[in-house]
Amino acid sequence: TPEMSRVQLQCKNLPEFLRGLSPPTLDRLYGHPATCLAVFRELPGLAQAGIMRMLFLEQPLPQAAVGLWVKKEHSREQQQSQEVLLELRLWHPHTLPGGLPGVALHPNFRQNLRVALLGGGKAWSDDTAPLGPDRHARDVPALDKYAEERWEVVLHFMVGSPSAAVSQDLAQLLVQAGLMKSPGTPPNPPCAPPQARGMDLVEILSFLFQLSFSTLGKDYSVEGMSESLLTFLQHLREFGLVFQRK
Amino acid sequence: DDELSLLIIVLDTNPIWWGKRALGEAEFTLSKCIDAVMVLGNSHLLMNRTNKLAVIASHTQESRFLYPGKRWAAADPFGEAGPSMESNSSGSKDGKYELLTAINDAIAEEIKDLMTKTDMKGQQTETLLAGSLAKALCCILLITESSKPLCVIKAAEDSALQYMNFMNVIFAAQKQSILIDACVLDSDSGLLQQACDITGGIYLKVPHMPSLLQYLLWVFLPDQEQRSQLVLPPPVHVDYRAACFCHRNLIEIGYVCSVCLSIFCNFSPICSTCETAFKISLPPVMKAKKKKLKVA
Repeated sequence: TPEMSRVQLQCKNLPEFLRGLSPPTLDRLYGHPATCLAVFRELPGLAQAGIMRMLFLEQPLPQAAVGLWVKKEHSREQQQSQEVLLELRLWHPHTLPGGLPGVALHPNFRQNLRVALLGGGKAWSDDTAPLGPDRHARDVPALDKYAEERWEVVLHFMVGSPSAAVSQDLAQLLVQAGLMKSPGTPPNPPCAPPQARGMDLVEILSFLFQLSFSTLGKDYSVEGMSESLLTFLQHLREFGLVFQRK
Repeated sequence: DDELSLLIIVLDTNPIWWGKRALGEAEFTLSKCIDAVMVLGNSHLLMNRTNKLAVIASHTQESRFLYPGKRWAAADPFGEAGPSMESNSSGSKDGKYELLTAINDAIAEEIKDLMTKTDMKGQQTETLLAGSLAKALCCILLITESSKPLCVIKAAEDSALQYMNFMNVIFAAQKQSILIDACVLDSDSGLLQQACDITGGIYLKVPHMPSLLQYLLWVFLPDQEQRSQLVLPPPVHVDYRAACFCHRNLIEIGYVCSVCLSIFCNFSPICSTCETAFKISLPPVMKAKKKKLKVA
């Protein structure tokens, strides 16, 4: 087909990307506080308000009650924000006892956003205290320099500079992502999913979100990370996004 | 879009008022109130990467920043606040976003220190609210040009002694387009009603104290844009009577000094505030009528 002959990069924003996921995947994705936090932040204002209002309610709310939240002249904005929430499965219709239409918050999302907000759940990663202080600890300027160096190498590689070397794995990844073309081979379909590489999308996304809420310069444990996640971590290392201490 | 949005919460921690509560029913304690305040603060921080928070405890002896506290004061108080490399604190052990853990721990530590180690000196029983508001205003003006409304959570009764300072703070806020919100736990506050009315903030007397968190999230968390779209508590009828400077009584008709605008309930030839001597010729005393003289 004509579309296949052109390698296309589809850059979506987070909500758009999430809308493309299957419901079971989304449900699983909302199983981690960091993801819920990331998704919450990307929501428009009224949608955020809607979530916060329902977050500490133990029961679904009647649709009629929700309809009273917003002034009549802004019902369009309310409509739009409700659509976003429904598409992301953050809200779902729930019939109340008695038959009235109601609305409920996604249980995983509710639980994990509450954990991100209040605690009462599991730590995102193990405590690094048992490892002892890092004798070769890098400060923020050193980390910045490291990141820059690594990124330069990747860029040089991408423009075909012979001196720049990246791992086989990363080279393959760049081709599969449609960022580079392997000479002589037919172009791949756009954005080959990580599942094709034997990785779990939910696991990787959760980790990526966790990373986005981490503090620059702070140590985090990799204890208990799966094989595929550790591989992913190596990719991030090559891009200069994380630094691994010995 | 990446504008800094600062929420400052001023919490009335009057130890006498809270102490009396603790003796009565244990259902809603200062501890529970602080929990609700922290959830409000956390929620605000959750909504946007650039959102910032400050919490001020208004006590009878002082006004103290619970956060950012002394630890942050030296460094960049509203920078990338939270666990720094130097502290390398162990972070969150319970799944809470680690930035929130750091802030909540700091608040808990500071309030404990305030309530347990503060010497109760003198006869002071009233919350130093005007001072706390002034500190909050300074903080806002130092950090940013626009902020979310100042959220005041009031427990004890109004202090008549602070009337002048309070009104000054309100007008200063109004001039800087800073809104003052008030969430009142017990008896209505005439001063805060005026503050909300003059600055355009929301006034709410909480119908059921244990549900404080829900009120905070529903009414006080939404930002300006959402406030214009949401249905929120309507403005209350405000008692605009001034308090006389001599007795601190609320009066409807009085005497005003033309120089410093001090208000008195009774006539005096010299203003006690600015010591202006009034040069007026009193009309001849009439036998039957009572005349009210107004010096304006």
